[in-house]
Amino acid sequence: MKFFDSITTEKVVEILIVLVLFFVLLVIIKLLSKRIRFILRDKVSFQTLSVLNRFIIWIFIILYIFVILSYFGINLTGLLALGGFASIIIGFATQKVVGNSIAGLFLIFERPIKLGQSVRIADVSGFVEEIRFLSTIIRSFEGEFIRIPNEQVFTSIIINLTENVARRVDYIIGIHYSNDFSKAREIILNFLNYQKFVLSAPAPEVFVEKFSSSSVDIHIRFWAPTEKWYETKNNLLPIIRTELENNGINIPYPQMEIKIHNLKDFNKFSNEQDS
Amino acid sequence: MQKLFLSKYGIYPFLDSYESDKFSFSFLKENNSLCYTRKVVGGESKTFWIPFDEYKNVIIQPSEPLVSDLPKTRLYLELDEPLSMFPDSFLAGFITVPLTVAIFLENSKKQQLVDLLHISPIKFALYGNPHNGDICRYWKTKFSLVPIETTIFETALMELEIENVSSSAILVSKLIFDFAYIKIFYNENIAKIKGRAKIQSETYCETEFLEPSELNGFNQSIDLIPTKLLSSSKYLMTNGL
Repeated sequence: MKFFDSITTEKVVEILIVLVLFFVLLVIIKLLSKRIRFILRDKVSFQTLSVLNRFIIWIFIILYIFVILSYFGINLTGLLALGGFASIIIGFATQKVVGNSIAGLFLIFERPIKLGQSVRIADVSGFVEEIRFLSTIIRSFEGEFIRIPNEQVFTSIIINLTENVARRVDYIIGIHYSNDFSKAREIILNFLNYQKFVLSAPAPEVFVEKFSSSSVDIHIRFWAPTEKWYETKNNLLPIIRTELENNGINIPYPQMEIKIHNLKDFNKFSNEQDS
Repeated sequence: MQKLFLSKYGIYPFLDSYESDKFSFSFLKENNSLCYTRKVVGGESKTFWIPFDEYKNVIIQPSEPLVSDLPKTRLYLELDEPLSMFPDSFLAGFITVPLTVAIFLENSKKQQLVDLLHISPIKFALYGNPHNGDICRYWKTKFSLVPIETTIFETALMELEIENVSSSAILVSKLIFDFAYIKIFYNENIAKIKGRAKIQSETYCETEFLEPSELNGFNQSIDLIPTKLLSSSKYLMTNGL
């Protein structure tokens, strides 16, 4: 009875206000969380967004309980001291987990990689399948499932293969020393001019890379739209070779020219070897 | 088999087969479907099935130069000879632009897009840098003060107005347009469009498509790209002219 006697009208009103405020704030938090999910919908997977949503709501509920308890004069010192001690232990135990989570958040907001992009991270190449809180999932070009901790992703050099709209293709082809380089250059440029995914600007370039032992090495350089880079790179090289050969430009095998100064000694040496 | 020779844009009765100097296509009825086959001279052939309906007409119209396997809506027009625009000057002339031939089937209720044919060569170019530039459909054209001859099914005549509102002389060698907002008008023999470029400085120019003049006897092409009501129809060239 004493308990009920201590409940005054003001207290009831206060409790009602606290409850109403809780539900109003919860609705606001849910709306905010929904907005965040909408903004991140094409950057983060559905599962990660659900986890993020629950994380935000639980953080709000815990903070609200702490605020309300202290408002009603309940002493939280003991609880906080216990919490502090527990945090130290949990902190040591979960150092890596926290590091990975924070790195995960940075990855989500800085967006150096996006879902579906082709990337190279710490010697791993493939498509970004998922960016989770603790790790990033890569599907390698060979189809393997690779999990990289987010801390490692964040601190590694990331090469994003599909972030830019165009990429360069480089080929080196050797032609015979007896062939005319200008003619070969003209044939290649003319061929590239008719390829729809070889960009007209920046213009393709063909130049002598170096004089090798068996060939004059020609460097062919052109740009292609990123979406078509792989197929263009793979398709054109054999056709360039055929084009060159059809126009009388030879691609030589490695050759070695041996000059013999004393034929008599050489014949004697050959005969000895044969016998 | 009923065959029709095509040499003009327009509406034709629905028949089995159609042929022009540059392409041919046919519809073969099998059960409740139509087998559509097309060939482009020097280009690709294609066959696919479409649902059968009581089609009355086939519409052959000039359309946006959209390439289905790399659907970019920017058009990079490189001029054969650059134009020198004096400060506060205006120049009007003509250039050509590439087209796509759109084939529609029409019944009593609606028109259905069947295919897009590319007769003019397809090339692309990068405007700007690889990180934040644009991949554009590329076309090299000459600029003329009088109308240039165009090739049916391949090119359209574009009226071009260039205005230099800056205080310096500017050399124009290329113009980029967003053809998501192009307005193509055509009669039997020619397709025409109009574009305007307003040069603000050496690195900044606004371009847009407008409605061409003298449209008596011309029809407007059916848009392939839905108009975006809330976005701007202007393209801002910020990487030089």
